[in-house]
Formats: sequence, structure tokens, C-alpha cells
Amino acid sequence: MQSFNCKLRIDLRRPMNGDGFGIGWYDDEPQTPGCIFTSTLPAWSNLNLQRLAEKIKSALVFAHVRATTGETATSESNCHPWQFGNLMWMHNGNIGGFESIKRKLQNALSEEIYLSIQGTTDSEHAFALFLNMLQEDEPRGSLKKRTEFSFQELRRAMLATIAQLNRWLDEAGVEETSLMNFAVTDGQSVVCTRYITSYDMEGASLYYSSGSEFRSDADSGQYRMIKANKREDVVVVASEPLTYERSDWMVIPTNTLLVITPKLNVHLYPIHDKYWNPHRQRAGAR
Amino acid sequence: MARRLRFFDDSTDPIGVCPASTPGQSAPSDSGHEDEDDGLEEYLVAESGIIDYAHSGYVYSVIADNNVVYSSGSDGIIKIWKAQNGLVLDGELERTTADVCVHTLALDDGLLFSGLQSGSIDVWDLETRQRIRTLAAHKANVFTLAVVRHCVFSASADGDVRAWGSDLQSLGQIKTSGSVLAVSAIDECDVHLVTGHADGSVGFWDIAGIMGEVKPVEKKEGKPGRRMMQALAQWVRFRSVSGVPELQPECRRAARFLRDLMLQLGASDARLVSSTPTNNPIVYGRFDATQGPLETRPTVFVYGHYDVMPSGDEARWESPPFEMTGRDGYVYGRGVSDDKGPVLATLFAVAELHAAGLLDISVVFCIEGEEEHGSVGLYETIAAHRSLFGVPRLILLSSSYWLGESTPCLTYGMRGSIRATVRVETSRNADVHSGVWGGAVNEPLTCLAHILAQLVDPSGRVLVPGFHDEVRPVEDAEREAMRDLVSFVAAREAQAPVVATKPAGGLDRQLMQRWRQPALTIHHVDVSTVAAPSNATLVPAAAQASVSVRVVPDQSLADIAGKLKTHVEDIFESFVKARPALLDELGLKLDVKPIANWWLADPLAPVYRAASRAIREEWKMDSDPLLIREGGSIPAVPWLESFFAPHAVAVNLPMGQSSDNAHLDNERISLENLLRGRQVGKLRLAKWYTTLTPKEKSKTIKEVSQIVLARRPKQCNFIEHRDTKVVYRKYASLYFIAGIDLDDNELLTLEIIHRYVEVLDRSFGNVCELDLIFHFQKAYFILDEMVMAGELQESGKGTVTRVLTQMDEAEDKENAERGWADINLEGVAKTAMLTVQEFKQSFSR
Repeated sequence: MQSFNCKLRIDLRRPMNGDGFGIGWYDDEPQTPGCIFTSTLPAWSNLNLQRLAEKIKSALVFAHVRATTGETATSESNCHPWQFGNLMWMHNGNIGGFESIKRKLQNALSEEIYLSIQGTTDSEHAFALFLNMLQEDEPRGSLKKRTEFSFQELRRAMLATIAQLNRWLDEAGVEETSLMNFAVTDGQSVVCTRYITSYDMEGASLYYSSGSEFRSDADSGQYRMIKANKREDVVVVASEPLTYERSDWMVIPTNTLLVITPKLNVHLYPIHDKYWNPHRQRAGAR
Repeated sequence: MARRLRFFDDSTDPIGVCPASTPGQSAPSDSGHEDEDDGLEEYLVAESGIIDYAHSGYVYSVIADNNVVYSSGSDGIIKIWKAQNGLVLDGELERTTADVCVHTLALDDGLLFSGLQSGSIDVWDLETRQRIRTLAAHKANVFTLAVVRHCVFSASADGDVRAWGSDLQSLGQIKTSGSVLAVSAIDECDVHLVTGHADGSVGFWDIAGIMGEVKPVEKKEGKPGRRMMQALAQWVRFRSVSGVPELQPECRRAARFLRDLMLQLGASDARLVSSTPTNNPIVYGRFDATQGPLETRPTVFVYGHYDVMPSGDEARWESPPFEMTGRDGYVYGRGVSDDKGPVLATLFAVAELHAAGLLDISVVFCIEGEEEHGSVGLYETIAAHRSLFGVPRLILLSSSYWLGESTPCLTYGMRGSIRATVRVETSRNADVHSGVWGGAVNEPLTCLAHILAQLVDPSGRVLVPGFHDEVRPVEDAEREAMRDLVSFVAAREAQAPVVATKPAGGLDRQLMQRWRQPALTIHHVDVSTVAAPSNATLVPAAAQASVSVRVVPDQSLADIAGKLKTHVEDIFESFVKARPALLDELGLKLDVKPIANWWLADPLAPVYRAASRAIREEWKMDSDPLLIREGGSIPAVPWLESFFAPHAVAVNLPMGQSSDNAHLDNERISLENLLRGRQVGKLRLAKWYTTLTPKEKSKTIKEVSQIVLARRPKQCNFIEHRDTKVVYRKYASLYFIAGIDLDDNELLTLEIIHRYVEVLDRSFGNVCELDLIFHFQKAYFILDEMVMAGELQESGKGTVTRVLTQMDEAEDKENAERGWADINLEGVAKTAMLTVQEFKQSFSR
């Protein structure tokens, strides 16, 4: 639905994300890299996607529909998500004035990470920077072989990535606002952000829902989040609610980092930096 | 740029946010819910009333108790908030394992229980804010907890409901049909449990079977004793024998048990410390009530040990040595007397004082695990952790025995000890046949016999030159004291083994020898031969003897060890010289080890007088406790005294009887006597306004208490008893009973009782039974201020309190002049003894 009729796109001239899509998932085999399927076709017109979606079962799925910002090619290598070892990454938004920091970012990368970049987007470069941050505590070269990361590690690297991007953007004097809704996973934990480089504006939308089961109602066919107890067995994070059951969906406040732990506990942490505004979220909350 | 911020823009927000109003204040609603009745007030939460990110995950549980709020959530952290103008964060309880969410919380008696995603239940001590226990309770998420009568009920996602007793032992479980989301207990006469299930059903359970004998725990009086006996029974089960590598884990478990117990009892700190990791750790615990830096706080140092001797031949025990068993007023079990029983008695005594807010000095516990194994590592560990122990003024231990069976004693002296092995060997390294070689080889055993023969003469006098030089001469006063002691014991303790055996030469001589005179003992002689030791034709290649010396004041340990060494070497030299050169050479291997210094305290020191008074009072004795010494040694005592010199004085309060069989089979400790008056409740205070004979008094007390105790809560508080009326009122576990004339006003009497309790409460700050026990004179004083000759004199609480404050000030001044040791230590010693009673009584219940 988000691909052809999104309601919360910041740019409303075109309520569409038709410049390709990508799906990443992990199979039952623990601690092995996931699989990614990308295409430059709009998601709604890809027959293969429908066939695959019918048959593939996975405990963790990343999905993305793309609308290019105009400066990068519509190619499969520019479709989210991207992969590095066990890690998967995607991004909703754009880094304003990315050209002015691109060279600086590339220079900062280790050889292995630099060579892994296949596309041309700001999003993939942000992933490379994230990997570089993650590697800081690691001996060189072993990052790709690591099969699991603690959610604390992923969270630390995510915050470091945002902080580093902000530093470079400031140094380059970029005034354009950046939207940094990133998502990363190692197949066990998930870390997402809803982030904007602005003190008063709202970030690109991000919602979550959790419960015991996300199930379609037998009569209406509508999906509902069932909450049978205090245990979380399903967590869905999405740019827009997937259903119209308003009590099923909670807003992730702007400039907040969300963690889904391996045991499916959901944590929300405020991102305290110069764009942190404790009063902003009230207005636009719910 | 046009933006839409709301996805659900076709409906309104059910949760209003009202930026200006204060919490709880109602504000007109501007939302347009159809189902809203205009007549209803709607409450909005003010922005200032919301704590953002209080937890980083979902908040699953919020409970409150006395202005303190506890919250927990999926971030695995329990937060403690103080309610003062909103909530102020006051601390966090955090597990080290991340990613385990806390679904539910429950409180009981200073303990916080938290039910976890992992199926475990954490038990936190709120005093120390430490996790004292983790119960592996369930296989699935613990969603809910309920507490009733100190029992905890936990229920989990897989439908299991389990019950836990106040000792955190499992009481039983219920299998229910499905995931339990809520559990609650109804405590009306019988206890029922209500469970709420995920499928929408609600279950009611009769849990009388599980609760078993768990009765409402109203009578706090019995609780410490019961808890202590339970704890002792559990503790005895650990086979904490030191010096046996395979039992080291048992020792550690025993140590951890004690540490957890200390934390449960409210210790401000409790941990295992060790600077020699291969040895059993010391269990360190601290109870403090006073403020100020630790270094300057007066401290009582309690020494004891949790290791025990091996059980020996278990067939000789009438009951399993590591199962505490009660028989004929004694409890049997390894360690009950040496030293686990006395350690727990002291611990519970101090904890009780602490809980009652009466502990105005610090008490540190140093319970070691290598006492029976030469206290290895003890000194290093204490020296390395000196700052933990502050400045002890008193070293309290309870690690010896009464002289007899029924008279409490105070031990003020012990002999020291030196251990030596003497080994004589030849250079030939092999046994030879005496028929072939006899006379032509050196004979180690002959040499050893020659040495041993010159250590002690037939009268028992030690032949080491200069050995007796430093022995302090026995003064007439000492002889006299000993005669008094012996005649007292002979009169009172005819059953005691020490008297019953009728020692030749008199008991006083025997005790003088045991306590006051040095001695040298040859323990055993061993020959190392390749053949059987019984082979009567061999000349052994080596022979060895173990010798020990008990030293007394003022012999110096090093000096005596040196003299012994020289003496043995001299004899050996002369032996070698006297023999013509033979084909082999004799060698001497001598190992002399000073083990323990002697210890002698001044029995006239204030702490001894205080302890004496306390024992005398608590045991209702018509004379002071016996001041005795011991022939044995506890190396740690003189060492601790000198380590913490110059302030520290050691007091040994023995709790065991002479027949306790410590170290032997059937070790036991007595629960005997002191049972009188228990059934009728303990009388704490009594005041008589008409003259009665003692017999009449005790009869009245007995009758009245029986009548009052038998009454149920809802019955009338006035009873006619003979020619008087009895008016009583119950406060927690304390009864206040007044006997009045038939024409007196009962309601007025009830009011007088209440006023009296109010004044008590004001002057003690939340009065409890212990206040009345330790400050009975104050309680009498208040009574005298208010009531005179049976008539109410002063009804103003303020006036009584004021007079009382003046009294207190005067008393404080006096106390300050007398020195604190005299007063506070008395309290500690008294309670230690009191708890022994408690301990003894409780078992017979």
C-alpha cells in the first residue's frame, strides 16, 4: 500500500514509491546471512514478489519501497536493503547535501568496507559509515565474519553514525534538513531510528506495533495485532501503519532510537543531541 | 511544503493532553466522542505529570508502598521512585543479564519480588537494594505475582501457578488450563487464590492444602526464633568440612547461604572476602545504624566460623549428622554447637536489634571457613580488608563451652599452642633385619625414644630448660577464686561430667592444670617401614613423633618454640656423639610451629561486667555467670586482639554445655529449661497497686493472660474476672491488660491504655516489644508519670513526654560519663543471650 498510496510522505506531490523495491529476510538457519531480493520495478507490478511472498517464511523481514531523490540511478544496486556479512540496512529519507560530504565519508572508511559499496546512494554510504563505526572495536577484517552483535553494540554504532554525519554536515555548512530513518539488523536484534536534523520539525513517520500475533480476521480479512498477554511475539515497525486499527499502532517519537532485542523486547531511547526537543513530540504525537 | 502529520486523521485522540492543568484536575473535554456523556467529568493527565522514557521499554508493572513507587518494564530495570510533588527517581535495581524483561512486581516485608521473562523470580532486599536470591520458578514468562501471609504465588505463561513459603522454599504448585495473566489472593478466614487467564476465564482455588500450616503471621514474637531454627536446619545440611578439597564447594555454599541470610536480615553489607583464593572465604557482614565515617565508628566485631569437623563414624550418630534433629530438648547435628548455632544466634540477635532500630553501634561479622583447619588465610584476608572492619572495641565470639550443664559462663582466657613434629631418619633409607645388623646400624626409633623420654618427667613437669620460667605464679586470690568456683560447681552441677567423674586430687587442681598450667603432650609415634609395622624383627629406617605444647601467660610463643627446638637438638647431638661411628648417619628433621598465642582478658573490664550483668538478668540468675578459662586454643582470638590493638577486648560468650560433644559424634546443643511461662505469654511489665503475695500475683498473671490470649479479635475488650474487671487492648503482638475495680469506668481505662501506648510510641519512635524489654525502666517511669495509686494523674501526653525528655537528657549525660561500652555492649550481649533463649524455646514449639 505504501508503494502506491502512502499518506505520510513528506513530499505529497507524488504519493508513490515506485522506483524499485527490496526485500531482505533470514531463514531458520541461525547466524547465517540473510537473503535479499531487489528489483527496479514498482513493488505492485512485480509478479515474482507476489510468488515469493506466498511461499517464504521468515522470522525477520526487512522491506523497502523506493522513491529516488532524483540524483541517483534507478538500478538494482541502489535498491534497499543492503547486506554486509550478517547485517542488513535500509533507510527512509535522505541526507541533505550529501555530495558535499561524500568524499570525506569515503576517505574515512576502511578498505574492506569501502570496496563493499556497490551503488551510489547516500543510504548505502551511511551503511558503510555505520559498518566503520561498528568495526572500531574490532580487529580489521573480521567484521564480515561475525555472525552476531549485541543490540547495545548496534545501538552504539547507530548513534555514532548519526553523530558523525551531523559533524561532517556542519563542517560542510549544509543547511538542508536530513531525514535519517535508518534500520539495521544482524538477524537477531533490530535497531531503527526516527531522526531529523531539525529542532522543531517532525521526522519522517515511523510506527510500531507489538503483540502475540498479527493475524487476519476470518470475516473481514483485516489484519489485527492480537495481545493475548504481556509477552511480545510479533513486532512490526513501519513507516505507516499497515492497518486502520488505530489502537494497534504507536508512534515512534521523532529523534528516537528503537531497539527490538533477540527476545522481542522493544526499547525506545531518546537521541540526546542538539536537535533533541522534549516538547516537539507532544504536538505531533499520536 | 504541505505535510500531514496524522495517519488516523478521521478520528480523534482518545488520550487527551492538557498542557496547563495539574494532575487530577478535571478539564472540560474538547474531544467529540459520541459515547461521551456531558455529565461525566473527564480527567486529563497534565503534561508535567508524564515522565517520558521512564523506562526505555513497555512499563509492565507499577506498585506503590508508603510513598515509594516501584516500576518495571521490558528494559529489565526496576526503578524506585519517591512520591514527592510528582515522582522523583530514587534508584534502580538492575540485573547484569540484559534483555530479560520484568513482567511483574510484588512486595512483602522489605522484600521485592520480580517476575521475569525468563521464568525466574528475583528476590531483592529493599534495605540494601541487592538481589539476594533468584528462584528458578517457571519454564515460561512469570506474568504475575501475589503475596499473602508472607507466601508468594507466581503464575506463568504456560499456566503454572507456584507457591513459595516465607523461607523462599517451594510449597507446591497448581496446573491451570492456560496462560495466567493475573493472580490475586483473598485472605478471609481461609485463603483463596484467584487466577485470570488469557482465554478470558477466571479460576478460584482453595489453597488450604498448599498453605498447609502457614497461619496468619501476626505473632511476631515467635518469628525470629522460628526463622532462626529454619535457617540453622538449612545451614547444618551443608557439609562444610574445611581442609577437604572435594567438600570445598559445600563450604562455599554454606558461606553464600550465610551471606544471603545476612542480606535478608537487613545487613548493610554482606559479602565473601578472601585474599587467598584457594581457601574458604570469610563471610563478612555489617549491620550499622550510626552515621559518620566507618573508621571512627565504634564497632563490635563478631568472630565465628562456618566450617565444621568431619562427621567421623556416621554409624555412631543416632541421627544423620548433617540433618538437624531434635530430641529431648536438644538439637543434634554437626555444627549446631561448634559453631553454626552460636553464630546464627548472635546474627539473629543483632539483626533483631537492627530491625527494631535499637542498634546504635556498628556490628561487623567475620565468620571464617578454615577454623578447624588452622585458620589458614584468615590473617591475610583480614589484613587486606582492614577498612571493612572499622575500629572494633569488642571482639565477640561464642566458641567454647560452659563448665557444667546449667550455669552460664563467660570465658576470659585460653591457652596457646605449639605443634611440633620430630623425625629421626638414617641415611640408609631402608629397613634392615635386626638379627643381621642389630648393633651395627643406627636406630632412629631408639634415638626418638631417647628424645621423647627427656621431654616430660613422670610428675608432668616439662623438662625443656627454662620452660616454666615465665609461667605467671598463681596468686592466693586466684586459688581462692578457683576454690569458690569449684564449690559452686560442685553444689550446682552435680550432673556435669566435670563434677560427676570425681577427679582425683580435686576438681580445683584439675582445672588449674587445664586452664592455668602449661603442658606438653606426645600425640603419637610413627615408624616408617616398608614391611608391616608389626614386623618385630626390623630396624626401621625412620621414626617420627607429633608433639604439642600448651602455653600459658606469660610464656612467649617464640621463646618456648625456640627452647623446645634447642632442647631436642641438644639431646639428638648428645645421642649421636655417644655412639661410635657406624656405617650410616642419623639425621634429625624438626618442625616446630607456633599455632596460637595464649589469651587472657581482664574479667573486671567494663565489657565483662556488662556481659555478666546481661547474662545474669536474662537467665534470671541469683549469682553472676561463672568466669572460666579454657585449656584449648582459638588462634584467631589473640591475633585479632593484637591486630586491632589497642582498643579491642575479646569476650567469649559460650553457648554450649560441657556435654555438647563438639568435634565428636552426636554433637548437640541444649534447648533445655527456660520454658516456663512461655505458654502464658511473656510478661514484659507488671505494676501492682494493691498488695498481693507473690503466689497470688503469679496466679493472677497466669489466669488473666490465659483468658485474654484465648479471646478472638472481635470479642469485647472487657471481661469480668473474679472481683475485678479486666480491660485489655492489643497492639500488634503486644497486649496491654489492666485490672480495675468493678465500679471503675472501662472506657476510661481503655483510653488510659491508649494514651500510655501513645506516649510510649512517641518516646521510642514506633514502639515495639524490644523497647519494652530493653527499656523497661523507662516504660515504668512513663506509667508512674501517668498513673499513681491506680488513678490517672496526668492526662497530657505533651507533659509526660516533656518530663521524659528531661529524664533522657540527664541519663544521656550520665551515660556519656560512664563510657559507651558499658551501655551499648550490654545491649548486644544481652540480646545475644536473649536470642539463645529464643532459639532454645522455639525448637520445642
